Amino acid sequence: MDKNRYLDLSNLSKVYETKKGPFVVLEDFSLQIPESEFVCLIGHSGCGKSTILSMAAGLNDITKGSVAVADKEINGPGPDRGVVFQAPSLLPWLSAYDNVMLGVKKVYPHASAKEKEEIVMHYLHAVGLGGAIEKKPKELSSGMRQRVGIARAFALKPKIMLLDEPLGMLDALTKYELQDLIVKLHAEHKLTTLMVTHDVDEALYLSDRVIMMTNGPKATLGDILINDLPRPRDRQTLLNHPDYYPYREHLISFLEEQEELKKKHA
Amino acid sequence: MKQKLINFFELTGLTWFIPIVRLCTGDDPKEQIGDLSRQIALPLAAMVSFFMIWSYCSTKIKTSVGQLPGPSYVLSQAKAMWATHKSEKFNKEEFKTNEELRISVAELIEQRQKTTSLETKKSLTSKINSIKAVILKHLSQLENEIKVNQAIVDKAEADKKAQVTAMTTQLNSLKKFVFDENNKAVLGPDGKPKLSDESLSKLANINNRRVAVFEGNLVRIYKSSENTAKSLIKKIEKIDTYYQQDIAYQAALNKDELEKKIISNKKKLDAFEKQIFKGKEYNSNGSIVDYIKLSITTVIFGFCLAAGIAIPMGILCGLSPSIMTALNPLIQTFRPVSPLAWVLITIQIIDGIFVGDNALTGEILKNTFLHAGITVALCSMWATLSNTALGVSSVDPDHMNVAKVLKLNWFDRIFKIVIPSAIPYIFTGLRITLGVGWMVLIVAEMMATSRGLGWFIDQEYQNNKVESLANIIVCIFIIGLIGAVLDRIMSVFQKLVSFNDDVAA
Repeated sequence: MDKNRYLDLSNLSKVYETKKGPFVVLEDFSLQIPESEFVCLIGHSGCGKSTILSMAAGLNDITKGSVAVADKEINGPGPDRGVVFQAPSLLPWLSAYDNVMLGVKKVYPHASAKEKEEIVMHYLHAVGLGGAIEKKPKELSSGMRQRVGIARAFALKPKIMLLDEPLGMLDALTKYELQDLIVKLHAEHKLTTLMVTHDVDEALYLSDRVIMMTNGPKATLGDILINDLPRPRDRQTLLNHPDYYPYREHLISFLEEQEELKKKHA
Repeated sequence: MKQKLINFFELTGLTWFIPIVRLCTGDDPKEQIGDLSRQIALPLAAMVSFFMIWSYCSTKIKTSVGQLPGPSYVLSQAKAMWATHKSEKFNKEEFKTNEELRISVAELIEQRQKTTSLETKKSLTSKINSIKAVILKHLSQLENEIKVNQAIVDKAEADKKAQVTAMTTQLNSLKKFVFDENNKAVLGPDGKPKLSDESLSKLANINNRRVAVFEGNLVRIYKSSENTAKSLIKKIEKIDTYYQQDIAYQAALNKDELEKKIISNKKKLDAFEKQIFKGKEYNSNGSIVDYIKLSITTVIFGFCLAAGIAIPMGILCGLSPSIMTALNPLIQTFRPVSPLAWVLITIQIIDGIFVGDNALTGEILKNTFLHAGITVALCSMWATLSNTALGVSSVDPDHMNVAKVLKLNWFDRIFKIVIPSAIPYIFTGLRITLGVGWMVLIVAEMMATSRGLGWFIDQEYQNNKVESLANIIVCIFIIGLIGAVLDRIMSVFQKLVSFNDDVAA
């Protein structure tokens, strides 16, 4: 197995058939992610970054190209790829505990009841939800709900983790807390992660590599930033690092460039 | 505790208790009293004006059977219905007492017929005769009850008569007569001046007043019980006479000469003994409370049947667009069919199935359960069916994605994702179903059954009297209240199962 292509997206294209003929959202996108790397996809809305993620998750049909995890081509969705959606997508009739348990039961079918309970409790504690395990989603704040979503994804013991703007709907303070949580979990589990975001600072704080996407239609890979800011990271030292602002500048100027292009086309 | 109570009242819709709770726990009294008076005073005002309008209209509206009953008349009729219900209980008790006495006599006679020992026969005979004492004791109790209650009835009737006389005299002295164009009082057939319509209706009001209904009912019940007891004593005495005669004949020396007499005596003895052996079944039309119980049982039966058919079908329709497409024309055709049409075909089908050896037994089954219950189910299941189908087909795509990521199998997908997420819709449908079912039930009972609220209304309608009209109005209130309570119960369930706060209204 090639450790440098743990998650291998090759020549991905996505075409939607519309009344006005085929609409190409994404064209010829390739990306190889080595094991335990954290990659962020960044770009303007409509650039197909979420499409890439949901194709990798198997939730969206692939028009052309292929997705392979650990040298095995994927065929539909599965619990080997944990997904955290933008909306927490918790089942509202189940408690936080049961929401996580639903996945655990599926992934550890042979574990005893006690073992399963321990797994669920471990991940709920890991995301800081030890005190609210019996609460229903509607009794939880949106940040808490997303924590349950993250616990559910991690409890599956997936090979890779796909995060689709998981913090997009949260307020700034909650967002910081959850970013810290994701950094902590990534440090612990070293999971290969692909995350979609449109927040430049978030991308720099979390990732090892930032993939910049060109605008759609026919979006594709635009530029790559190797984010070698030292780990373990904390927000304060990161801001004082001499490379931080140049990197940030790089990302922002790319995004602005894309914005300009968009205006020109329009 | 306080918050729990408030939540409970909010859930059950009894919101006007909330300010009371807040008052008791020491919240700002001014605000709470304002809240309370708003929540209680406004509905109260509406209710009072409703009764006033009704009261006024009832004096103006003439029905085919007489004046439309006003609120006070209806109230007195409701009381009378309640009295009938209470006396029903005594009726049953009396019946039971008499039957028990008869059965004990019958058992002793049977034993006497079987045994050959003269000693035993003798002791049994004395036992039989001793039961007479028990019956006599019961009779003396009855006599007393009849006396007491009859006195109440007599007094009430005398009072009413006195009132009528007093009112007539008063009206006569006020000269409230009908006058002709010469301003002369018009004379009635009895040669006295005719009273004006207004005066007559005042008199009719007193005349219509029911007096001592309960006591009157009791007198009737006790009198009939008295008759039964007396006839039982008579039978015991007859049996004893013929039995003793038989013994005397058997002991006679010239037995052969008496053969004819012996046979005829024996025949008479047998005939009376047979009468004692014959039991009676308690026969009664029941009272309003029985009808209410029966109607509620029937609607719940119909509701369960509807849910049992509609939920699985709804799930199938929601899961498979093909099934939905296939069934949709049928559903759309049958849904608007009137309960009147369903009930007739249901009656004939059920009666066709359960004939001869298959005939239904048991009061409740015979009368209502299948006819009315199935009609209720047929008419009310559609709301649940379409709501279930809607709920199942509109599962949040995010939740389906969760199922896909977890690779849940078909069974888990249906039972862990699809059905739970459709439950609020299902309960909305069930709430409508129960409401429709309750409405349909009354119609179905009118057509199909020989008990229940709908049947009772129909009976009263056939009676063609003003008091029957009042009974029907009482029933309308009962039906409305029960319907409202059933709806409240369903709305509580609906709120309990909804995970989005905005589903239940």
